[in-house]
Amino acid sequence: MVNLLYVATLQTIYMVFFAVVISGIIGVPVGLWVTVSREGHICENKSVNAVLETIINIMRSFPFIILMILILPISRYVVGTTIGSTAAIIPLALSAAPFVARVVESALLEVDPGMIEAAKALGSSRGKIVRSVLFPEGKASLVNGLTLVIINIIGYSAMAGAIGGGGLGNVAIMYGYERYDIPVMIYSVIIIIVMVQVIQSLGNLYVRNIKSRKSQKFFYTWIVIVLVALAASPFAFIQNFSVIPKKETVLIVGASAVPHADILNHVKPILAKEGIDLKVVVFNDYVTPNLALQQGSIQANYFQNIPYMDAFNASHHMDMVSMGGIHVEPFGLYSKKYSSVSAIPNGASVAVPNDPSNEARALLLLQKAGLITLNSSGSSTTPQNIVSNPKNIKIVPLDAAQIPRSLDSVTAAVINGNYAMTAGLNPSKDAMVTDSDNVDYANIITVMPSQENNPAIKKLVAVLQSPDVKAWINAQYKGAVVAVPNN
Amino acid sequence: MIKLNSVFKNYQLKNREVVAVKNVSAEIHENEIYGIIGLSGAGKSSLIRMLNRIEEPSGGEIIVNGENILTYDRVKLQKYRQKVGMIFQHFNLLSSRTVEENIAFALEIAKWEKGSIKKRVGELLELVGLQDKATNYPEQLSGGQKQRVAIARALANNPTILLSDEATSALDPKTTKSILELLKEIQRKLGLTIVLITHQMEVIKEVCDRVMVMSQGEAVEIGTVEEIFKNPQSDVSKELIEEIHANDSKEIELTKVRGNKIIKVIFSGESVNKSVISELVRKFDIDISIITGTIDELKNSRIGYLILELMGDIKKQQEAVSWLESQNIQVEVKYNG
Repeated sequence: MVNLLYVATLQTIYMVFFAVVISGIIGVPVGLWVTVSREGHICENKSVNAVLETIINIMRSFPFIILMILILPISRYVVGTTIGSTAAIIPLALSAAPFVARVVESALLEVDPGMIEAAKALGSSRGKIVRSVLFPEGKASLVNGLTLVIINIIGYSAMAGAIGGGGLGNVAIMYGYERYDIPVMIYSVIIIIVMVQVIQSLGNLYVRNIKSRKSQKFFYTWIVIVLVALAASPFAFIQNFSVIPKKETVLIVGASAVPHADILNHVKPILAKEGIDLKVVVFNDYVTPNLALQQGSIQANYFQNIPYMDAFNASHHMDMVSMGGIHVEPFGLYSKKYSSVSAIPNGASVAVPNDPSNEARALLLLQKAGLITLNSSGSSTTPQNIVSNPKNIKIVPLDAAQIPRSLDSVTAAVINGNYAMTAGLNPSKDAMVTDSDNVDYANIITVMPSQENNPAIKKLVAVLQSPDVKAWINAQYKGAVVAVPNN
Repeated sequence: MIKLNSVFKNYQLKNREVVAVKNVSAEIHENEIYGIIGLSGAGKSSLIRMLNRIEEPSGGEIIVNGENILTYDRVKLQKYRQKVGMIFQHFNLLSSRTVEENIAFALEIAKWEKGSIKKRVGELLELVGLQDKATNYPEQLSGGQKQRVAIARALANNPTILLSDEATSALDPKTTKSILELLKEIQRKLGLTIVLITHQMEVIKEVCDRVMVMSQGEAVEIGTVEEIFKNPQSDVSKELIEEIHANDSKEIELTKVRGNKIIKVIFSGESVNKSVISELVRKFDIDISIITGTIDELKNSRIGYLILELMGDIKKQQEAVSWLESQNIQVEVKYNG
């Protein structure tokens, strides 16, 4: 755990440090420009001001996670990859840049117009006004704003997990939210709090020192902090770039944390003996692993089933193919109050995952249980397809990861195998009914067509489907994860 | 030296135009201290700011040393401004710089060499008497000290013109006096032309040679300070002068008695020293009581005022007033009796 938190801390420092630097390089000039082009300021220009205002406002309106996905191509172009901490720096910096611009703008607008007038009256050039009046006089507000920016970026960096960026926030989500590993969650949150606290205090101290004119003494503390960040960065950089292929035999596979990454890590030594260096990149969402596959940042992924892949191919105009099914995570119908389907009362509320393909699968499971009848059997089935509902059950769509926590609030719930497992529920013992016999829902190794004949991937699939590994899976997960029989 | 030819300044507010300065023409001579006085909103602030184009005129000409400064491009304007110092009501010193760095700022702008900056800053500090405050920050100084730093900064590049925008309005009377003394002193020493704006007649009285009285954007009166004090023409001038003699009208109110005229007698030049009052008493057989009396010490002369209550035959009182006027002494009847 110490190592996990250590690496995550370095990743966070690395991402935040460079995101701050880059967002500053973009945001400071933009903020300066939008200020001085204002009416009555030293470079008044209404059209430039209007354009900059619009750009800043548009950029600020983007939800971070959307921005992150949208600019994957830019990340690829700039840093050569769309996954990992390095790829996360670009969206972090771009989403922080307009914020930096606003911070700079408000700091510079605070500068007493009388001082600018005095400089003008002395015959100062506009450049000299910027260098000798605007920035020195706005310094305290600028440092205050910078503190705010850094803390904001730390917050945003939690979402970097979506593209495999790691970091403390991601650890808290992955281990705490999805795996119920409370200590890891608490420790990572504590480290974040400490970081935020330290930055805030340093910022306040610096501002106080500017005001009481003792900045010299404090300057050294500031230098130490920067050095620490710089020293940490290459560490994280190496950590991060070690996943970039250097030899043919390196195979990068994107996976969900549980059980996919665990299973891959189990076969890692086996593949190593075959001369294949397997690198596992953990994703905590279901969109970026496919986009990363398309971009070529990973060579295969292991998190989805065929109906999901088909739907994704259709909606994203992609042609990903399956290399074979590995395991099924049976959906189960669970209840805290009732132990059999027949006991479920009239008007019961039943929670189901709220994403389309999981919802369809959940409805099919409810049909198998005899609670409802559907007029569709595909992955696009929705509650609209219910043609009979004798017990009048109410379907409650919820975030899949959230359902185990909500089990007390509903009569019954359909829960994904991995979430059931992390919540301590076992499909083979605790569920009233499961779909473990349905190989349509087997989790597959997915590749782009160009990788279909990659011997390393073929080897990986063969190892995962070998009797030894199957036996290990079945024993390890006690029914929550079931190896696909006879392929 | 500075010539204003029908200068205008209009502001475009949301849906109407405001005329801040309306058709002002004036001539400011070399080596004089020229005051512009008016109530707030009279347009004096806009007017002085047009002299270094911190505000752009909407019309007219401003000729300085024979050149119309409105034709200057940015670079030329910056050069011109380096030769026109300006000081402000709120000093406008840079809070991030020490006293010496604030003065050096003006020299940096004019691209002085590092070595000569230090020497020049030392001279200027001596000129304004702040040698011991060189490394202090503005916030550690009193208002008067701040204005001295601002004056040093304004004079750094050896300007020939100094603009003063209400430079003493934020200061207490005693400090005001010392700053005005300093302005007079440097004007003499350096042969400066000073243009100052103020709403205090005291300031005009103390330092100015000539004055322009502004009201609602227009120059309603221009003349020497003595002329204006002796014989103010416009309502604004009268009002502003009344203000420094505010006590007089109070005294007059308290003294009013039916049958007794109250008059204000204004002496200037030679008449200050004449013994007209005793002559008056002898000639007309009336009694006179002095209600108040003051002497205004102008920069170049003195003006005396007496407020008298005349007692006795009302006809004789009237004759006495006429006699005074015939002696070339200015008389204002404040109460007809």
